[in-house]
Amino acid sequence: MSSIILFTAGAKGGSGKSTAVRFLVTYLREHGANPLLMDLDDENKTLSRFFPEAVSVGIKKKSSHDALVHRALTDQYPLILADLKAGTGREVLEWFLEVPFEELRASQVTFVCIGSITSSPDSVQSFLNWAGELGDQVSYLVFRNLKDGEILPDYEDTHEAIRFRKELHPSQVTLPRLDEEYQTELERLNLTISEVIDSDQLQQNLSARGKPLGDILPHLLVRARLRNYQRRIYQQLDDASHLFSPTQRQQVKRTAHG
Amino acid sequence: MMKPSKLAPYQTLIAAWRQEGKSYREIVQILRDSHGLNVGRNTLHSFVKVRSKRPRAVYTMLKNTIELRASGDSLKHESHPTPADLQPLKTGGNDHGGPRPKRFNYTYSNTYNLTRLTPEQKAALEKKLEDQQKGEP
Repeated sequence: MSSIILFTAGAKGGSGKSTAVRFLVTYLREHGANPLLMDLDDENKTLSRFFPEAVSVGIKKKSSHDALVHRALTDQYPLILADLKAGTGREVLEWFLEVPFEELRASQVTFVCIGSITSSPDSVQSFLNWAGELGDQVSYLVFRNLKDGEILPDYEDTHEAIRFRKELHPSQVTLPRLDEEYQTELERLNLTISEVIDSDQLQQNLSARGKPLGDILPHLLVRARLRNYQRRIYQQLDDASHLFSPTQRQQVKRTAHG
Repeated sequence: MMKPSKLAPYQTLIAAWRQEGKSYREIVQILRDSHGLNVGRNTLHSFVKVRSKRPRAVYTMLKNTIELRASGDSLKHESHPTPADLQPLKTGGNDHGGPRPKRFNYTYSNTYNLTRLTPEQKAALEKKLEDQQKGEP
């Protein structure tokens, strides 16, 4: 059985890696997939806050990350989504550099590196640090997060980022800026947009998973805006769906090679 | 015995920077700013040039030619093979289980080291990379 391990990369905190993962989780679930969620950020535990079913992995030492591959090989999850700790720097990357990608590919275990780029130069720098080391041993999904501004000069206009895009062909998703008030409420209440718009217990002001919705989010117009926002992101994820499906990945690879 | 070049410890880094497309001037600057090494552009150029000479191709006979010989069948070009009968022996790459050719060379750095391009430079780089990819098998 094949397994795809999606993991967040980059040392920069606050670049929206966990936001990107949240969209991925709800997108995958709404498309019938049930990824194993692994929270390797034992400091913020963002993934576990939003998805309590996520498996928390303590990362006291580098080898704690072995759990990722172990789960892929033994538990046979077709999809594993791992949120790595921000600010981990070189140490976690070193773990990835020890991964026998070729051998795992033969066992049908492949990797997708998820990056989140903002207008902050550090977010680009830290992500390219990973891409430069991992090269074409993994596939890439880059979220262009416009939360801090519409222009991402270090991703669009630098020699290194252009080479990354042209040589490693990442799939890209743009996350438009979301109204700050909504964003804050979602964060405060640990809600995904999907939970808000799919909520069927509005009378009790609760999400489908029983979480309080607060005062702002349940409004009809707010939910409509959130629905449109999510739709724009899901449409882009549709274009990247080959990354999440083993059969589609093989088809894309065959097409690319001839 | 010749004194080793003071650039020798940086050989791998220099190779990576050159593959990234960094100019000799930029590399000299990085070596000075980040590694405290003062070296001239000409010295760097010579260092790279000497180590960039292509190794002479090693020719090997085609596998089917060897098999034919073993089976005793006659060979069309036994004594004077045509260029088509000869292929350079590959020294790396996937086909022979050697190291994978690495795409996207970028040197890990804890400090900002990205090079912003003007629109003209950006367009030229994009065209160059596209042309390179068109030329790939």
